[in-house]
Amino acid sequence: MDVRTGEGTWVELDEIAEGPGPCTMSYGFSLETLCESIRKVGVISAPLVSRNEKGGFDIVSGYRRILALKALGEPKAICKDVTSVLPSGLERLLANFYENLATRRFNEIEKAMILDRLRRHLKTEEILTCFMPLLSLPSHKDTFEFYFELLNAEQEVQLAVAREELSVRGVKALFELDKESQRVLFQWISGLRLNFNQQMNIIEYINDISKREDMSISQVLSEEPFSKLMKNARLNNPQKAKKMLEILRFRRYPRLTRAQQVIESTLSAISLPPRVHIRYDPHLEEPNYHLEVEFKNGKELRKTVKDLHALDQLEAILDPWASQ
Amino acid sequence: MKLMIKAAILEKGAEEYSFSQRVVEQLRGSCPIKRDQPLSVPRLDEFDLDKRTLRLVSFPGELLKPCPGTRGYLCCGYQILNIGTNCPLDCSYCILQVYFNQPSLRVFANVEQQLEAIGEALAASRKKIFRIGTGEFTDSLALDPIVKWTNVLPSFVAKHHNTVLEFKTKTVSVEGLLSSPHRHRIVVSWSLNSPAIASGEEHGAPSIKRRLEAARACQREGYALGFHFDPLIEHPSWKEEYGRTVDLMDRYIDPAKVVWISLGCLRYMPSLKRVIRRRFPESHILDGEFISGLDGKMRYIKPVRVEMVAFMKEKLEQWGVGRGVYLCMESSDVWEKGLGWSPGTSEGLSQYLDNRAREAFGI
Repeated sequence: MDVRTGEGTWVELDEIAEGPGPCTMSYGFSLETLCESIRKVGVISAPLVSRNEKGGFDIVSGYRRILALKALGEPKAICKDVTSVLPSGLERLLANFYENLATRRFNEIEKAMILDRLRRHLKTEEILTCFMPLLSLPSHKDTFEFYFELLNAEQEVQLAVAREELSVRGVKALFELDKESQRVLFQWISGLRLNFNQQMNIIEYINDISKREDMSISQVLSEEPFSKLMKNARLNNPQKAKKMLEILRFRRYPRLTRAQQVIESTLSAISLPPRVHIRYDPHLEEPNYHLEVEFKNGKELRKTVKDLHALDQLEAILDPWASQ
Repeated sequence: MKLMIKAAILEKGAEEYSFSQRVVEQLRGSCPIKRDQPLSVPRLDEFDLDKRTLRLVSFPGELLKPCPGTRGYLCCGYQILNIGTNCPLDCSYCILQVYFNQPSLRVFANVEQQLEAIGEALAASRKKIFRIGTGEFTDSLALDPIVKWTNVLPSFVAKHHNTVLEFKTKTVSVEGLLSSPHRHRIVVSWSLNSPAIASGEEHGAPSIKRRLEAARACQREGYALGFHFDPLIEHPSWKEEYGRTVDLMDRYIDPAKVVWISLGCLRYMPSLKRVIRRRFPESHILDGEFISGLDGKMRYIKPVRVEMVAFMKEKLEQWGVGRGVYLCMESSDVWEKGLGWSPGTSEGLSQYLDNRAREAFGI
């Protein structure tokens, strides 16, 4: 196929079918910049269209350009009619795919749209081995299935993923849960604007807690500490997010958290000389503490060591698990 | 345990071995047998392990390798004889679910051809004791009714006086062993757990009682025994539950003829958690307080490990096992606090177990 041989022709925009059609793959975009560009310099590259069964046109490539032209009130546009040079649906889809692949990065919903469209033409094995690597995705059937699940997700979840407000790992973890848990957790994640790490932590803690305590995630989150936290007008979102994670972490890891608190409180009660730090493994797996001393010269080091030596409080530091 | 093999595949490259012919003959009439190219792509479905297809494969790499151990913890210096990968049992905690990226029960058809070279390596280090096991990447005996490693490996060990071979299993497939004339320097080991974990998490595996009955049969036939409580799992009434297992051991086994018993608390690669959640949604084995260990694997917080190990040590001592209890992939301070002593280093642990082998077999 060679799309360069497609004929340039004026097409009435009313003749072009609404919606992205079977070939295009754009989602979660803004038309503002494109409209401004068209206003200034016109459409540089003609959209590709093909005749459909109703006598009108489907967009093969240039969905956003057509939408922008419509938004600008243009009645018609020069398009390339590729009906004869790209006779099959697969060829049209691939023309759009490779054009986009070469010029921009796909968001995750767009990747899902691409896989969904490819699935109508190709066998799963071919998509897994040939196309998923092009989309920077692992060739796993599970990942393949995940992207279809993504297309069935609520619109607000899809938008959050496309806008990179919800991580792929986060949404994957959500999909492991029942629908109600997904809905409730998504509200918390988007309401508190959790970052990607916080998203993963909250999903993992709460899922573990719900399994261990045989409670639903909704039940856990409707408990008083969480409802009170949400209503607390004195805390902003990042503070609420931090507090929520603390509550969940303590409930999930009570002994570890308590032991860490004891160590923290012991260390903070010691008046260490300036530029001296005591570090420890937060998992309390490494048995030793680490002493870090910054110094400019030997004289300063000698003084620091002397000051440390004189500190009686050091003996309050015990084996990391001594409190247990 | 009835093996539910639904298909066998003879891979190109494996047909030439007499082992393959014997296995094909054994399977003929019980399931379809196909010929196929070696798998070139990894498993596409991470949750489908295809445990009912047996693949006869020619393994291109070295079959005898030291256990890789794990960073930051003491390793016993074991040697792994890689006879195949994956296992027909389906334990929820099994690391093999994420360890290999190829599906099916893979049996290496070229082991016999490599034994000569392995034998030369063993002979080249006469003063070194080789503790070799086949149960790391598969169950040593689960497929034995078909593949009959017990016909091949004990006679090989008989020729190498510095070698001890351990068959590690959860099954009762001991017919091959019971009919083998070569029993010296063979340790038959059972992986044990609490009855509750065995019935709830070790899918397809015989009960603890049946395992111990099989162990008793082997002990009566003169085999040295080993046991592995790995993974120890924190679960409701775990002390009573593990105590029940030791009580059963007392009923069936003479502790004086047990060479070693390993203890290891549940640990897993982080990627396994998702697989367990998906494949075994009712499982509660992930309920405990797990931290990321020094090797990046998830393991219980230290006081839990110490408590479990100390409890098991006490129980086993009460039963009558004094020496030979050791920890698999643990830190020196858990050894100290849990068992009351530590070999200090991996080399120290290796020597300790070599000495156990010397005492047991007069090496």
